[in-house]
Parts: sequence; structure tokens; C-alpha cells
Amino acid sequence: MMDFLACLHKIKRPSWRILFRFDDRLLLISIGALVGCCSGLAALGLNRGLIFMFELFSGIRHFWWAFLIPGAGAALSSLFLEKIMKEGAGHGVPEVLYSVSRYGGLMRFRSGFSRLISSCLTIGSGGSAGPEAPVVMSGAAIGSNIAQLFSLNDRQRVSLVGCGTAGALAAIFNAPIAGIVFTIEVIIGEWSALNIVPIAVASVCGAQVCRLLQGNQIAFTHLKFGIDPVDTAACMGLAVTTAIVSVMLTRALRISGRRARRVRLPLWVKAFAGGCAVGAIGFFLPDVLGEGYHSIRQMVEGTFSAGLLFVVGLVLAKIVATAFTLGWGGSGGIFAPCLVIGSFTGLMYHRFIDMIWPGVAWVNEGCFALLGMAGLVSGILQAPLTGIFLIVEITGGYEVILPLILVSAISTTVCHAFEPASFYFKDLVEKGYFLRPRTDARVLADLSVTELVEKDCMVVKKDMKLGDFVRVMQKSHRNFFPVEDEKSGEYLGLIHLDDIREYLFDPLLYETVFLEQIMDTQAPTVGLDDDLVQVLDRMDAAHLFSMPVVANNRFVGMISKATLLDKYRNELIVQAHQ
Amino acid sequence: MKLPLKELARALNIPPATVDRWIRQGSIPVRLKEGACVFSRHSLEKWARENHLTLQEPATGAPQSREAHKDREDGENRENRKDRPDNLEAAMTHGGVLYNLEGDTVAEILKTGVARMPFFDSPGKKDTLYESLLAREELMSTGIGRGVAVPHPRTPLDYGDIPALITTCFLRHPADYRAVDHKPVFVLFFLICPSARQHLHLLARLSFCLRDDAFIAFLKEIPEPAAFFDRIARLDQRFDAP
Amino acid sequence: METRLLHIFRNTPLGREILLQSSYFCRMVNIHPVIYVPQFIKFLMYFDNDVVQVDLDGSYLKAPETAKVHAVEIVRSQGLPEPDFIEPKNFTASTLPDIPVNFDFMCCPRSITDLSSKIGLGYIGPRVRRIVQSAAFPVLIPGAVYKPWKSVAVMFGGSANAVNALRLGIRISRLSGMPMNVYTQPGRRSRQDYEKIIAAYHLDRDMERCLGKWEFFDGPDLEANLYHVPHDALVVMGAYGHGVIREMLFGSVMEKVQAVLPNNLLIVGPKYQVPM
Repeated sequence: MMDFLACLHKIKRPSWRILFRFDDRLLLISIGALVGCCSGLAALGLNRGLIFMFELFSGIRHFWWAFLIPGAGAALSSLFLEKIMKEGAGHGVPEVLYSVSRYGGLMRFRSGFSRLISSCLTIGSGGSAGPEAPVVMSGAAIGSNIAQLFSLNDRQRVSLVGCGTAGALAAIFNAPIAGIVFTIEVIIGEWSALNIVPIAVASVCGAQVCRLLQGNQIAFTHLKFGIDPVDTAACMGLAVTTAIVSVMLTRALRISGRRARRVRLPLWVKAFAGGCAVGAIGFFLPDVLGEGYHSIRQMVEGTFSAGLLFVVGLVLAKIVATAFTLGWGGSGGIFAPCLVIGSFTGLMYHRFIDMIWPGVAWVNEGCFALLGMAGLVSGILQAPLTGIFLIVEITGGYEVILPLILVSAISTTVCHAFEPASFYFKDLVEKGYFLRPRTDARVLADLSVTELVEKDCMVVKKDMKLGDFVRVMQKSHRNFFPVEDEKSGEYLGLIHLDDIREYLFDPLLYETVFLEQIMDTQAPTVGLDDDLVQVLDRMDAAHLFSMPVVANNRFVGMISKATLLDKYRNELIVQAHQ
Repeated sequence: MKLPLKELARALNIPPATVDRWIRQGSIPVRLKEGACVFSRHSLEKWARENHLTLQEPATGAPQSREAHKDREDGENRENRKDRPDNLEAAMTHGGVLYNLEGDTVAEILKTGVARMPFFDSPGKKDTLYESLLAREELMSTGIGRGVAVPHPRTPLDYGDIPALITTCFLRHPADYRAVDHKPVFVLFFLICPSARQHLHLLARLSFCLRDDAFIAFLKEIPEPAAFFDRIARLDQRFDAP
Repeated sequence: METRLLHIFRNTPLGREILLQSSYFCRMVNIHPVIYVPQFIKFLMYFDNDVVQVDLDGSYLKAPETAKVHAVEIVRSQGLPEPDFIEPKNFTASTLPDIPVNFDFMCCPRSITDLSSKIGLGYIGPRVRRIVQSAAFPVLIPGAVYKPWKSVAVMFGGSANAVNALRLGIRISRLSGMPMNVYTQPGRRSRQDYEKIIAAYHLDRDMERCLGKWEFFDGPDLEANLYHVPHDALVVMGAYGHGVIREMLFGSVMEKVQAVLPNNLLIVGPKYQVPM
């Protein structure tokens, strides 16, 4: 099955391809629409799966052994990923970003469905995670594979990966704008008309598919809020609170992930243990289980009747449950837990200010729950626009836009102070894989040593006399002379004119000194596969402007900062013009 | 249009590996088809302009391209030949040999030397040359020792129609030229070049020859022009030999 | 520039035979072997338009402490200089390294995924097929036991890919100094037709220089005819994906040949361009 697609794109291409070839944009838009529909269907599939699982287990939740269900689900999902799909755990968004930044969005076919199934097992059984990240990954993989089917180039493929993401997100939330914004802000990282148009079309298609099959529902409807300036002012405090909770969640996820890695057990056993822990928490606080949209709905509608302390407990419990689910090997995203924790936080904040200033006529608690969601999403993802548009769309509440923007902006800023890289980017930034277009890292990653090497060097032999060398030198316009072994052709060292200048004018030495005696054998060298960032670091450390490139003990050429600047600039201009 | 990758890379003056990557990434409006680059000339030119690159006239088709390439190489060679400084023999033939030059002081010698040079059509040119030569001598004598002097203008003089030349002048009697070794000078090589590069080139060759004792002895015999040029030609060959 | 061959090493007796074959190939054609000693059970290869995940069988991870020493020993025993080892620099996931693909050849056993005990001369594994289809390099599929080859046998059927295989065969024959023989299972075309194809690709002169003999099989049954291919020849052939349906109906020539011939095979995929 998995090779089916591989085989498909070997079929001789029919002539209709020529029709599309003539216009790049038309091609991307039409394929983007297809990708949007496919990824929208995938998202809906997961949604239906979750509903089915929820109904399946709702009858047995009250038994004492129900805490085992999330454990079993997480274990199954881990086994499925590990043994059947042979993929790693995790929510998958970093993988999408990695392939977009390094390999032009090439993704495996199996990624198109693996996360859907595994996250369905995890979340459906009660694990505290969200379906969005898996959907994003599937959408991206669907886009990538469709691009491979049409053998498109990297730039087009990245656009289609974006289309997949946007379509999937638009379908699962019924939120087309959030789909576009998330894709541009988080996945692609650059705003260009060439990308935005197909992504917008895909987003529309995804949302349309969702509306056709499920009806045009707004996820969290609410009453009308009348927002006074005093409420807007109070939002500042809420923003700071959500930022603190965001940082707590990020840290909790990291700590639990680190703990889990230290435990030497099979992955599925760990996932089982984590799932059981979640199940145990959920036995007493059922609101923390699953994606938790039900409780959000209650809160936004203002019908969630819990006291301040209880809500504080819920915030903490949900953070712990999420950390256990995702850190210990369950499969799912962070989006839905963010929304749940955010609305709990909003509620908590509302209860708190209501207690301190009971006389003020605060707006309905649902409004705060809604703002809390925006604050947490913006804080965790450090993507303020995504937070704003997502909340506006899933609640249909455009009247809260002013405090919404405020909360998103402040929360993002405060979080950034504690966590410089967002939850999705953190791993990539640490490993240096985070390559946004037109950045230094991206340009250096794209250029390779092979493209920069200059081959017009004069190679000299090790037993050449200095006198002969002076004559060779007269004919060269370079300051570096690599020395080779006469017989084996191996690279031995380098002669730099600066190092031997003092001997050059002493004819007495001409007949007595051999190059072997004066060459620099310790000069740092570069391999053809070396990373340019490291090459530059080495140059800087040794105060060099050029270095010899040596592959398999043979001299290939020189690499110099002057050529690098030339090519670097070319590359930057070309990337900027895409 | 259809071109092999390497040809296209050369037309754009970009390494083939980079062009290959750009095609893969879709940064350049070119497609690969069975190892050859397919593109529209118009859109590629537009792209090159937008990206601060120049698209040189790409050769079309393989056999033609080889010819075009050869043409280009030939052109380059011609260019080079024009730019390349002449060897000693050519410069000396241009300059000619003068015998029995009169004069006892530096100024007199230079004056008569310039006056007897046949290749200046106006007296103004001779005057500027003489003044420039004198200015150079005032800076420091060009008598480089062993009875030889190499007078030359202080800055290269470009008369346009006159190539680099060396006029060899044998004095009637050896004169005091304030040479570095205080020996009287018996032969002068007037070195007149349109550019500093040619000047250095010829001076280097000349000074190499003058280091040769046999050559000095040969000069002292005041050879006939034919024998003299013959000798110079042989010295040139030693230089040009790899 | 240096030509390099990628070899995925397993530290087992079978792995030793396969590395011996690789090393012999490298020595004959003057290639530098580059060896990857897997640390994880899977790795990814990002090709131009495809990404292939290779899930190795467990035997690749056996005895990691002696793997490098053994690999160096084996390569050295063939009179080659010390091989290079790949340390993966990039990871798609923490246990999923990316292996570079900028090589000139790659050596794959017939199947890289299944336990080696299960495969004799069965099918070429799906991963290996995909590598062949996507890679810009030819794939060396060695036999199970080390056996130096003494000639090059090119399977030439007239397709564009077969021409590529012929080109590679000529190149290898020239580099190794081994004689080259060409084998053709004539379909409806005659010998003149094949010669026309070769002339159209400007290969006729190279053919004259390298060709030992050109044998046209008589019988209609390819499997039976393959008996004429010498047992000690390196078989060079092209692979072209025909799509699932055609392959199911007619079967793949590559599969037929490899199922009958235990020789070393060098398979040329559709993306490969022979450097001239």
C-alpha cells in the first residue's frame, strides 16, 4: 500500500500536465484546492473517530478501573507508531517544520495517516491532548505527497504542505482564517502572495468540506458580551496570568518529557504509565480528560459552576494531565489542552477579580474564558495572530476583538521573555534546524562547500625546491599553494605566502629548502560535506580568510570568505525574489 | 530553449551545483528534462535581471556551442595578445639602435638621444619626453652600474600610436652619468612604455639580461644591430621557456 | 571529483560478504567506499522528489562495538585505503537520522528491511526498489557470497534506461579493464534496430572499443536464456517503473533477472545520468 503512491508517480505523465505547466500560480491554486479537500477530509475523519471513541467509552467511565482506559489507549497508540508505522512519538509539528526548512517539505506517505490513528487512540481513550497537531501533520504529509505525485519543485511543494496544513486546521475548527494565519505564521514563516493565495484557497476548501459534511457549526457559541473599558483594563492582568500559566505548561511538558526519557522501559510501557496517571486524575476530575471541548463550551456559555479554588485545581490538574499524556509517549497536540487550560485560567481570573472587587459589574465569565484561551494559545505558540483569529472564529465573537488583541499581544511578549522559542520551535532551534527563508541560517544551509570551492589553485609537489617554487609563484595570482605528495597525490599541507615571505628573497635558500620543510601541515581543512556554519566558525576562530577543501586526503580547492560573500549575496537575492 | 546544465551554468556564471539546486528548489524558471535544462529565454532573462545576475549569450545546441566556445577562446587569446607586454626583442626592434651618441652630462646625453629618436612626429612630444626623462634622473640616477643606464620617463607616457619600445644608444665616449657605482656609462637603454605594467615587465627582463656578465662583455664590443637583436632574441627565449 | 559508494554495513558474516563485494567493486572501478554503521533501526534518505524511510532488520545493529574495526579490516583486505564513515548530522526525529544522498553508487542487499534469513533470491525489497527509482545513483545489489567478477554483462533491451545501463557498462568496463558483453532478448526488433538505437545515442564507437560479444538470445523464455550469462559477470541493467498495473500483468524484467541470476547486479534507475 505504501508503495502504491510511489508507483503511481512513475506512470507516464499525460499531456494535461502541459496545460498547467504554463502558469505556476494556476497550477498551485488548483492542486492546493485538491490538497485542501483531502486534508479537510482527513481532519473530519479524525473528528468522527474521536466522537465514536468518546461514545464507546462514555458508558464505562464510572467503573473504578476506568483509569486504565487512557493507559491502554496511549500504549496502543505508542505501539502503533513504534512497531507498525515505525515512526517516533511526539506531536509532529516540529517534523513538518524540519522538512519544510531543510528538504523543501518532503514528507513520508505514512505520516499522512499515522498520527491520525495514533492520536485518535490516545485522545479517544481520554488522554489529555488535542487533535490539531496530528491533523496538521497529516495535512502537511498529504500536501507533500500530492506535490511528489506531480513532481513539483521545492518551492511549490512547500506551498502545498502549507495548503495541507491550512485545509486540515480550517476543517477541524471550521476556522478558515485561523488555518491561513497559522500556516503562514508558524509553518511557512513568510508572507508572500505566491504562498498565500493557494493556502487561502486550500483553507476555504477544507472549511467547505467540513461544512458540507458536518454543517456550519461554530464550536463554542456564547451570549452577547457587553465589554466596558474597565473589562479591557482587567484583561491586562488576565494576559499576565495566562502568560504565567503558559510558561508553567511549557516547563511541565519539558520536565515530564525529560523524566520519561530517563526511565528505561519500553516506550509503550511508559505511555501506558502516563496514560494511567491521566486516567487516575480524570477519575476525580473528568474535565481534564480528552480534548475537553465540552467543558470549554460550558465555560464560554457561562454555565460552569465551580468555585475559585476548584478552578485553580483544574488548571493545575489539566497541566499535569497534559504533561503526562504528551511527555510519556501519548500522541497528540498541544492546541486543545491550551484552549481548555486557557478557559480555566480565564474563569479562574474572573472568579478572582470578582472576589476582590465584588462591586464592579464585570462582563460575563464566558468572555474571560474566551480571552484566556487566546492568551494561552498565543503564549504557548508565540503566534499572536493565530491566537486572535482562532478564537474569533471558533467563538464567533467579533465584539471581543479589542481585549482579545491586547491579551494575545501581552501574553506573547511576556512568554517570550521566559521562553525565547515557542513550543513548536524549541527543539528545532536547539539543534539549529530552524531555518526560515531569507535568514542567515537558511542561506548557509542551502549553500554547500561544493558550490563555493575555487579550483584555480596551483598545486605544488612536496619535494619542489624553493627556487622552483618562486617561479611557480610568479605565475599564480593566489596566496595559497597546496602541497601534494608526488606519488599518492595526497594532500600534505599548505603554503601561505605570508608565512614564507622572509625566505623568498634569500636566493641562498633557493636550492637548499624544500617545500616539505616550510609547508604548514596543521592548517585547518574543510571537507566537502561540512556545514558552512561550522566552516565559518572555524575560519573566525583561526582568523583565516580562506581554507583548503580536502576530500578523502585529496586537495579539491580553496574556500574563501570573498567567494562566500559573492555567493551568499546571490543566494539571498534569489531567495528574496521567489 | 534547451541547454545542458553546464552550459547554462556557464552562461549565468554560477557553479553548476548551485543551478541544479535552484532548479530543484524552484528559484529559477528552468525545468530539468532528461538531464537538460528547458526554459524560456525571455523569462530567464527577466529573472536574471531581477536577481542581479547576467545571462551571457548561451550557445544553442551541443556542436554549435563547442564552436562558439572556441570562438570565444580565440577572442580571449587575441585580447591577451594585445594586452600582453611585448618581449625584449620586439621592444628593441621598435626602438632601434643608435650609435655614437654625443654628450658629456646627463642632460646633454638625454637631449641628443631624444633628438635622434625617429618615431616622434611633433617636437612637442620630444620636449615632454625629454622633460620627463630629466625629471626622473633628478629623482635618482638611472645609471644602474657596470656602465649601463636605463633612462625612462618619470610616469608612463602614452602617445597612443607608439608601442612600448627600448632605444639602445651606444655613447661615443663613456660619460659620467652619476651612476650608482660611479663608473662611466657607455650604453643607455631608453625605456618608453605606454603603461606601468609593460614598463615593469620590460625592466624586469632587461635587468635580468644585464646581470649576465657575458652580455655586458658583448655590449662593450658595440655589436651591429643584427647581432645585437639576435642575442636579445636568444635571451627572450630563455625567459619564455617554461 | 572523487566517486563515492555508500555502503550500509552490518556486522554479521553476511554483512562481511556484502562489504567484500562492495570493496571489490570499488577497487575495480576506483571508487572510495563510504560506510554507514547504523545506530538506529531506521533512517531516511531525502531524494529530489521523494523521501524513503529505510527500516533495517535487526541484524544491522548487532555488535556495534566491533563494527568499525571489522569494516576497516574488510575494506583494507581488498587493498583499498581506509574508508570514510558517515556520522549522521541531521535527524528528522531523535531516532531517525537523515543519510545524505550525494553519492555516485550505493550498495544494497536484495532486501534491506526483511530478515536476511527469509530472502534467498526472492524479490527485491520495496525499499530497495524505491531507492532505485528515486536515486540519482545506480544501486549495486551484490550476491550473497563474495565472488570477484571477471567481466561486465549488460542487459540491453533498447529503452532509454537500457541505454543508460549500456553507458554505465561501457564506463565500468573501461575503468576496470574487464571485457564487456551485451545480452539482448530480442522482441519484435532486429539486430539492426538495436544498432540504430545505439548509433542514435552516439555510443557506436564506444561499443566497438569495449564490446566483447553481443549475444542475442534465441529462445523466447528469458529465464532459460539467462543461463548464457557467465556466472562471474557483473550484470548491469536498467530498471524502469512501469506502474503497478503493467507490472502486475507483465512482471518486471528486473525482478525476473534478479530472481534467476545470483550474480552481482548493478541497477540503473530512471534518474541516473552517466557522467561522460
